[in-house]
Amino acid sequence: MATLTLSGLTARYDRTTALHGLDLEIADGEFFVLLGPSGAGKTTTLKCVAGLIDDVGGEVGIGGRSMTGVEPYERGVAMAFESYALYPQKTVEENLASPLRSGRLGSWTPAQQAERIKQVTTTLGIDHLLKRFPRELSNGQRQRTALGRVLVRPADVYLLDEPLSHLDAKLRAAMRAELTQLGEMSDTTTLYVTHDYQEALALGNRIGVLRDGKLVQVGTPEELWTEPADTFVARSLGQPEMNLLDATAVDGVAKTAGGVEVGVPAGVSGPVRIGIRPRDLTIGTVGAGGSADGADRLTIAGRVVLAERLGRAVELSVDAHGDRIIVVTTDQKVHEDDTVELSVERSAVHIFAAAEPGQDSERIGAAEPIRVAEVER
Amino acid sequence: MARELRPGQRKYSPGSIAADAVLVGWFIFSLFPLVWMVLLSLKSRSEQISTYFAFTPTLENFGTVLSDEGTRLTSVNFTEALLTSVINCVGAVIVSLVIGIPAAYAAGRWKYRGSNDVMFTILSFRFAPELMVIVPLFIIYNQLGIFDTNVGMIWVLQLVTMPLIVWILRSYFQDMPAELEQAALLDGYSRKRAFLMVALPLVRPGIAASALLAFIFAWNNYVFPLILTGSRHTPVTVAVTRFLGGGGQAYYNLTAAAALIAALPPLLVALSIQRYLVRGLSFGAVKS
Amino acid sequence: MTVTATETGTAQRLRLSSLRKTYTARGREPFEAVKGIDLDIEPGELVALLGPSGCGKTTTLRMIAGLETVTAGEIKIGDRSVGDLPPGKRGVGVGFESYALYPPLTVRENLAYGLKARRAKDVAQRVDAIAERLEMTELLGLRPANLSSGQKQRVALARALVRNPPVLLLDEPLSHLDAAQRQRVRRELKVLQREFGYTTIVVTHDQQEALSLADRMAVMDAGLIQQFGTPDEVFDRPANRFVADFVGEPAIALVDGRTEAGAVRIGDAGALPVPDGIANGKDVVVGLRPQDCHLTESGATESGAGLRATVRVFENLLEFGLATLDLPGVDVPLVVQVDVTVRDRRLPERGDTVTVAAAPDRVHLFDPTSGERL
Repeated sequence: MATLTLSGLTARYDRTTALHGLDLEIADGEFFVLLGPSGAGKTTTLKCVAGLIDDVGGEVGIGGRSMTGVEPYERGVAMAFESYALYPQKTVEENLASPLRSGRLGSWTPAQQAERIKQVTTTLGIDHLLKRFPRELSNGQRQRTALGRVLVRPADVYLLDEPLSHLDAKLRAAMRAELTQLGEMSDTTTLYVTHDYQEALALGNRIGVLRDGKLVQVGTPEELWTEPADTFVARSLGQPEMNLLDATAVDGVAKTAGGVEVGVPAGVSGPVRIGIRPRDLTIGTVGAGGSADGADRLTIAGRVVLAERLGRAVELSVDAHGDRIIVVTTDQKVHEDDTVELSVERSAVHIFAAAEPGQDSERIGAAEPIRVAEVER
Repeated sequence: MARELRPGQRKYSPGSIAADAVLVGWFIFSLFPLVWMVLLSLKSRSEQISTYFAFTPTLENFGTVLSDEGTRLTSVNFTEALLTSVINCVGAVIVSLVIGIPAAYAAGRWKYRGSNDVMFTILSFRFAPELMVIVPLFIIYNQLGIFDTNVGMIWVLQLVTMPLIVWILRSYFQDMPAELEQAALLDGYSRKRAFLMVALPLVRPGIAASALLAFIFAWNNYVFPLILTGSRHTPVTVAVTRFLGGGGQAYYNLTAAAALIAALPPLLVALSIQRYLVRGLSFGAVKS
Repeated sequence: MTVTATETGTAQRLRLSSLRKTYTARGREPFEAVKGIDLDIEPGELVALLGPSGCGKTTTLRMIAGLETVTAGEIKIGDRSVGDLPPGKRGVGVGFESYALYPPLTVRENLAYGLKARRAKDVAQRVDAIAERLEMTELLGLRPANLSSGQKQRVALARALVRNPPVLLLDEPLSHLDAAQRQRVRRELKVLQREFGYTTIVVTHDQQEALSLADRMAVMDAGLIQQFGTPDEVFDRPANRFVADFVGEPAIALVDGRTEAGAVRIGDAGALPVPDGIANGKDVVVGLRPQDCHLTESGATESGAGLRATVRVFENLLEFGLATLDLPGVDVPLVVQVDVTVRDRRLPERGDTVTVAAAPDRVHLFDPTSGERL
């Protein structure tokens, strides 16, 4: 068990820079998730910590000790690779025994090895596969074996690279729930890399969102969810992704092309973006509720263009006078071509700075009530 | 097997039949020298220059080539020449593997400034005409005293075998995920042990394929031994041509028989490791 | 969902009757990939063929396209039986999963290729029109090598559409896109399909894609159609265990139970009410969807209805929560989706004792041997 510190971590491949000075402090026993799209530098970060990449700028510290110049096996890290990297010519048992037999991670008698392997494989439910070769395993079993090779040895830090990504959706959900139950996982400092926001939200004590080799935001799942630093973080979490409507702010009120109006924080004017999560919107029929509670709720009227079933929930594409808004609802009475009134709490409406289409921009704040005086003026 | 309509699949038409006929014709034409040689090796001395297909086949030529009679005719013992060739080629392949496997590994794993230039230089040994270097080599060999020795031949055959082995194995190492060795490093193994334990077993098909190819290329090499060996360590390629005589009598039937015997060892080796060869020659066979 | 008739009138009815495909390889057992399927697809309808890999869905698509010979059965497009026609004469447009774009040709040439092969007039206008419709005009001059996978997929789609085929066949059209792109292209595809009115078959292994895209969906397994119906029918009234398990995410929990008067008893956890007309004292498999179960803290309801359970894990995914529960006497965990958006509500924690309830029409019962819905 140990803390993990990255300071100014920089890595280059050929001419491209994979990491631009990463700074991060991970507490002892913390489960930290790095979330980002492919190519963001997630795997590179893990490999820098493991000491598998040469020519790294900055410093990695484990348990307060600088790892510069320290060989991979002396760092006290255990890593699960996305590709599993199981030795194809060795059985599951030999794969798991490999760290124990190297002689560098403590000396283990054959009996101790067998006991340790038994313990781990029982936990992971793969004790019946010990004599199999990796090619004879399903993806789920390979993934467990790779995880077993991490758990079987003593380590200060676990590095897990997309361990669930090759599993089908159902197995992934089950394994995700299982991971949190592993005692070893909850006690040992873990750096976990994924592109799946649900994994990040479910597993992480804290999450760091990585883009183009830079940390965009670090925080607890709730912090990232309620106050995303920019549209990139906002779009990274949640499916379908957050609606972003272009608007122009004049006198404290932002108005979209389709006529949606929200109050903006003081001092904001000019082009902005309004962000609303599809699941934060609720549905009412027009005229039913009116906008009596208009002070803390924003209401938008529109026509349902598409109603698509996601499962129990239905995803609606709503055309609000030209603004296209995606809504997820469990109300199954809404049909295509219906006119609906969407409503959302003002605190769940995010205001972002404007940017070119396809570019990300910073969050300014949450929507404010429209002050009557300003509207009249 | 799935039956799909493929772009090449069509019904027979006069055009397609004509095209097939041309291809069959070309096939026979290409195969003819080989057929002719087999026929020639079975002919007696008196029939050797006749172009009729009708003759009385005899295996006598093969015996003659391997006997003292053959040695008398050519002043080279053909059996010894076979042995010399085996020693030279096996030696050359072993030396190439010992040096070439680590070289290929380094070339496949590490990129550095000029790494591609180094690889191209190695490959260019294969492109360079042997005649270009043969005269300086002859002088050097004489001065070093390795003219007409096995050591000299093994050395010079590196020009043939090494580039081949390095190039083939490099693509194998490139195709092998580096993460396997990285996992071994984290498991507590040194780079050397990670290489021996993880990487080497996985490229075995590649080693077999490249070693065989290198062996065949070395076996068939003619120019180097022609100039750099004398009568003591003559390999088969040179020995075969001795039956054509140096200004005296030409024994075409014996030449053909000798050539067939000389072609046998590579063929046997190829057949014995055919399983590896098929997998090995399709690059990237490491990934499952 | 009503299907709007098309202005162009090109949409055609597609019927498969007793369609079979058997592969016979020398020296091997014949392999039945498709074991006799019947499908009647309305003009302009979008049908998803959903199933795991190897279920025969792609083989079926390829037989309709004419890329695979038919062992037995009939394929009718409109009134024509097309089983013996070559692919080019069937009037189908095909979008391949692997894109199958011609690398040396530009996007424009790729799109025009099929039209030129048929000596169509106004090739340029038709290519321009479809490119504009799919918002890819700026891609027309590029070659496939310079396109992202999302763009390639769009080009492949455009090439299938440009011939204005009465029947459109798409093999995993969204598989190479990232999650956000997939959502956008999926909506785009559906709007386009409605507008052009093609009779469309989409092959997919992604149950959510099938649910959201399809007017009707055919769930396939082992060469047979397990259920053919609207997404609502398939999700809410799965025909058998396989369909229940394959459709829906997080996956349905399938646990053993035994029926009693108006209820089904599960392990030692308690009983759930079931609809009338179920025989008493029968062993059944009970299917409970995570979205259809409700959690209450134990003690809140003492009425006795519901299952007692212990929380093994609770995952707060912020959009919703997932509680993995242990039921006494049951070895399969039960996953229940929990609304986490309600303010001030106490969220379940590991070790909590809770009660699970579900509406009778949301408790699916299956025969333990045949797997059929009861």
